[in-house]
Amino acid sequence: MIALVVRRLAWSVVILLLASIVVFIFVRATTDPLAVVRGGISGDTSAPAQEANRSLIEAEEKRLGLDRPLVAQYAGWLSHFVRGDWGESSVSRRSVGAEIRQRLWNTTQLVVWAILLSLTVAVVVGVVCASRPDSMVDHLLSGLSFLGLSMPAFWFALLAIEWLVFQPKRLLGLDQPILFSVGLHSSTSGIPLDHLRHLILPVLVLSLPLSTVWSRYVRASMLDVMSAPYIRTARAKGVPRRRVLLRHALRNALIPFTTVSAVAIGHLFGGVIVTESIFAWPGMGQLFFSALLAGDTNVVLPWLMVAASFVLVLVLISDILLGVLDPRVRAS
Amino acid sequence: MATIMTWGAMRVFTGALTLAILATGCSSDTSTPTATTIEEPVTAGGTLVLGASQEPNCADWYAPCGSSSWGQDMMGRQTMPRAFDVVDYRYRPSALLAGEPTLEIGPPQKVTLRINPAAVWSDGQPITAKDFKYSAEQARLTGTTTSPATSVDELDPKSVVVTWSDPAPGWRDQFSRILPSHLLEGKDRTAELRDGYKWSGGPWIIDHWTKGQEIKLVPNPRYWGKKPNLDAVVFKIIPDAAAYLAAYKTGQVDMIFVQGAQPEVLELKPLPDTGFEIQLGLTHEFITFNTAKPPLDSRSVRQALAYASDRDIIVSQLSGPLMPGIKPAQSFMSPANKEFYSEPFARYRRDLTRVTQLMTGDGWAKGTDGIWVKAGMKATVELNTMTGNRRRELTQEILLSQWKEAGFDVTVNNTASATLLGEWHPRGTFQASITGAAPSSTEPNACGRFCSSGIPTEANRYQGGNFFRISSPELDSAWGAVAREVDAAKRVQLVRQANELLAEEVPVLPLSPVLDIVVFNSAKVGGPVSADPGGIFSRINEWHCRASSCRS
Amino acid sequence: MTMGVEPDRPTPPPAEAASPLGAFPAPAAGAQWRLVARRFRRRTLAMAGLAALAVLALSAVFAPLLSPYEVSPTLNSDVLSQSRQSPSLRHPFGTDELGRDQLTRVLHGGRISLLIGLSVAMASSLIGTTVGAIAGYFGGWVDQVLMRLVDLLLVLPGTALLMIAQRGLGGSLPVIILILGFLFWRTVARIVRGVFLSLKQQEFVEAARASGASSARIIVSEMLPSAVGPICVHLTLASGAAILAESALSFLGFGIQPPAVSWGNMLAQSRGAVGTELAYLVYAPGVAILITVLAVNFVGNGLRDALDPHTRA
Repeated sequence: MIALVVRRLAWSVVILLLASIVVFIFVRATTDPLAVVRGGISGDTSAPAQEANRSLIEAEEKRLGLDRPLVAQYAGWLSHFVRGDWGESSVSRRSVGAEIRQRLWNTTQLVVWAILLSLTVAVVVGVVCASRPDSMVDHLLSGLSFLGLSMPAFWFALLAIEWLVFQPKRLLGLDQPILFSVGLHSSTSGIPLDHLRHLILPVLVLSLPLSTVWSRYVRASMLDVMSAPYIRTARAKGVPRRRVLLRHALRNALIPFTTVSAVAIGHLFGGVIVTESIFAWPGMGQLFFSALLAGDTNVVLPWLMVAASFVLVLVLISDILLGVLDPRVRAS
Repeated sequence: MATIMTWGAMRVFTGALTLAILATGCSSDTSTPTATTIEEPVTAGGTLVLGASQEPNCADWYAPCGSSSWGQDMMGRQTMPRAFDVVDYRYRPSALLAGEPTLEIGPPQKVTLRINPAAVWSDGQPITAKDFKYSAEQARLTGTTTSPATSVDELDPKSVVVTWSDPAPGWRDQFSRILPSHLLEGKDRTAELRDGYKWSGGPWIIDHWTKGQEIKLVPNPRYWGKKPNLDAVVFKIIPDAAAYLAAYKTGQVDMIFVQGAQPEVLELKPLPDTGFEIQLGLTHEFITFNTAKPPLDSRSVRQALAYASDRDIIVSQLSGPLMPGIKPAQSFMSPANKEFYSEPFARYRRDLTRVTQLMTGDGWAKGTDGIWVKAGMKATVELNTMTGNRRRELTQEILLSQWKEAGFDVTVNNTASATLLGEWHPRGTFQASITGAAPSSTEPNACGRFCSSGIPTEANRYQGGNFFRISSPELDSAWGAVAREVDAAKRVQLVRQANELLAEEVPVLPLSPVLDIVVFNSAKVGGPVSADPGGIFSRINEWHCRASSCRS
Repeated sequence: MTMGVEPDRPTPPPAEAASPLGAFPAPAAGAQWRLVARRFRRRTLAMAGLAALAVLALSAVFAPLLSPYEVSPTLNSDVLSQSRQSPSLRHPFGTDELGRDQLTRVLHGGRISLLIGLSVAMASSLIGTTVGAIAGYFGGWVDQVLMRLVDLLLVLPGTALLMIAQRGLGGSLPVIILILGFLFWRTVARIVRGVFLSLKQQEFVEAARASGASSARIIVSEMLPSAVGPICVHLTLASGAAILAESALSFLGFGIQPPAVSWGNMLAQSRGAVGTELAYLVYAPGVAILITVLAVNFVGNGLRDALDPHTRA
């Protein structure tokens, strides 16, 4: 077991290292790090200002080490990155590490609630459907999950804003809507209820693809397990149906699900880009979006590394979990 | 909201404003900002939540990262005292000064300033000559002033003599942001100020600035001028354009400031208790033709494109509903800049016969697909703008359909504003683009954009404002003359001539003046609300809260 | 690491992930394909999906005949004066801010969206099949290197990579197809590799190798036919995922640029309409995406079930 974890961990580090090379080359090839500086210079410039701008650009070039060969740049960047010095944003000149920590916390709130919600929905829907395959309930819930997974999440968000924010406000003649669609909280009141009113919609949108796909998954996996001989044996022995479903079937159905969900959760990082941009949620997604728009490579690079580490850590956890749940893996 | 090309990222040269004001003299018909003043007894207390579509990158207004006009409006002006206020495009000594300064024109030019004896920082220390000296020094070091002082001498703690060896028409901007020398002297200024600061010499103090979320101001208890009515002002930062408007629609913010009639702004009109303050801004939009790229290297082609465009309908469609009768800009400035504005581009009205004349005259012939062809080359133009700016995208679509009808093959490749302005424009890897200019003043000099010295090249590290890459001795001498002339009346003539040349060469096609729009909840916001280009938050200490709901 | 996931959409459709690879038919002869076709036809939802797709494709192709309006008319005062009209008989889906008929634009938008779905699916299947086949057939270090490449793509968030690539390469149609295709191949690579690994030891492959056939020949004519089923399933499901990915990219402003009309950029443009009287603009393009992807998913699921004799009917 420990050997497995160590092997996986070592492997993760290698993947991360490879990812950093790919990401570094990819980002450098597609964006000009000096564009930020040039873009910030006004067009209406006098001769002395032009001279000042020129030295500004040269200073930035030197600061970023762009005059050195690419390999040296990468080595320099990596050695700083590993030591925790993630550099400064070329736009705000703030420490990228601090910025990412703050954003990560905001995103974590969204992600944790979205995962909890999706898991609950998936397990409930999956079990209900699998316990009565081809019933009306099964068809209805399956139909809904198909709808959910065929729908662009951002469109769902627009519909939710129209029908859960604006229409109720209009119909009920309220000063403020019941659910908010902008930001983390209203600034004036720090009460938890206010935060909740801001949280519900983005969590809902983030959960849509997760919960629908996961419930399909749990259903299929449950059906597979239910046809296994040991379940039939248990039923034949007179173990109550409900108990068979929840004790025996669900547990085993969730084993393959662990790994799938780990990767999917990791990929929430992509999902939050859209969701946070719609709901003006100051998290990782919005950070990436604005950094990319501004051409701030100093933020984009560490961001991708954090996202990659996130996926790797989750996969690692799920591997360990799998070992705990499934004795066969532990043995190997 | 990335409405304006340089808004938020440009260095604000207030000095240019001084020049312009000297040049305009005392003319009385510069556009006067209108303000909604609701006559009612002013009540104290309450908090207003205002929407900010941009966030400054840092709070050191002397550093490039602090060059955001939003940042200076929201925090800088509220916390750093200035020697002169700008009211109706004119400088007036502010409450920081004890009376008019005395000016000896010289040379050397000498100005004596006397500081209000009551003026103190929030820690109780008086605002002194040392602070003026320190601030002038910072302005000189960072190049944030156009005419740095030669020396600043303390007469006594409350008066200074400032000397310039050369004539310095822009002297007033030296003192637009006074810093507390007793807190900053000998320290790393940027490090001290970057994330906000806890001192103030103005009506407000920065309570907190949570990056990406909000800036909260509370009154400075030791302010020596007119104290704010409100308990607090919160600027909620919402960079996303749609979310910004949504925040107003849902009542999460009490006021938003929008530059340009984004189509969605119109939809706010029917909302209850919604006040609109609309003003023609100094900002204007235009098409940049890259005259180094064929077929735009041909003047006839550029003129033909200008004749192919129906600019009147673009402006009336997009801005007309908010400001009926609005017309396109007809020179390289907004019509709001009345002193210098002329209409040389008015000749370019949509006229397809003129397009045909110009194109055939230049050796083009229409191919079977209806597209102009010359020597086997199609008249293909790539017209770009920045992604996410809805009004410019709509402008682009209208132009595109009109140019297509006139026989041009038009393609689009929009990109982020940082890429367009930071990469494509400086490197010249574009053909035509729709952008805007947001001058902080009425200064009409555009030599930086149209003189050949401003062409970005490898040698000058790709900086310089002549993205048109136009190189013409006539333009060089015309705009060079504008830059050198000080006499007001002569200057107006020179600017007209220079714009006339632009209309002949067409490196640029002016499109629309940009509307400055303040949308506010009139049930909540009381006081002088205006879309004053001198700073919409400049009189925020006079605002008050009208509804009981914002008194929390 | 497990099943490939399409960019940031957790779309290993459950049954696909759960079904054992061995369940796919061995070298499918004509008779078996007829069987598959019969099984497919019995699935009402899949057939309905196919019909819906046919209707969508036809209406996209014949869009100019179906609508009296031009998709990109010259924007003169006549057209512009028709702007912002809510749905009516003349304009069933209303008109946009520039007076263009929204129904016409939805019909035309289908062209680009369907084209992207199809081309991305084909491009990704091609790349994925090639990589998967090589990895599975040769095994050893070749397999290791290629599969680590897949792992690498798996740990980086797809949406982010797509946005960076689009920023560097621009938003033209071929570029969007290219970058989406480049990101979508990993699922099919894994599937094909699995099939090849399981087939490698089988007699007919051993026999072919013994008779001196070249590797390329064995891969293409002996082993590939067994993988056709799963590839077809991928082809279908990936085109749905590609349509969704394009719409999300366009929505963020990193996709197809106007004046080209895609459902994604129509939605991006109508984003500010939410909560206003223009809200009607939000529905039509979204419903179009929903119907298309739903139909594609039904067809894909039906196809997979038809190929897998073990599934319950």
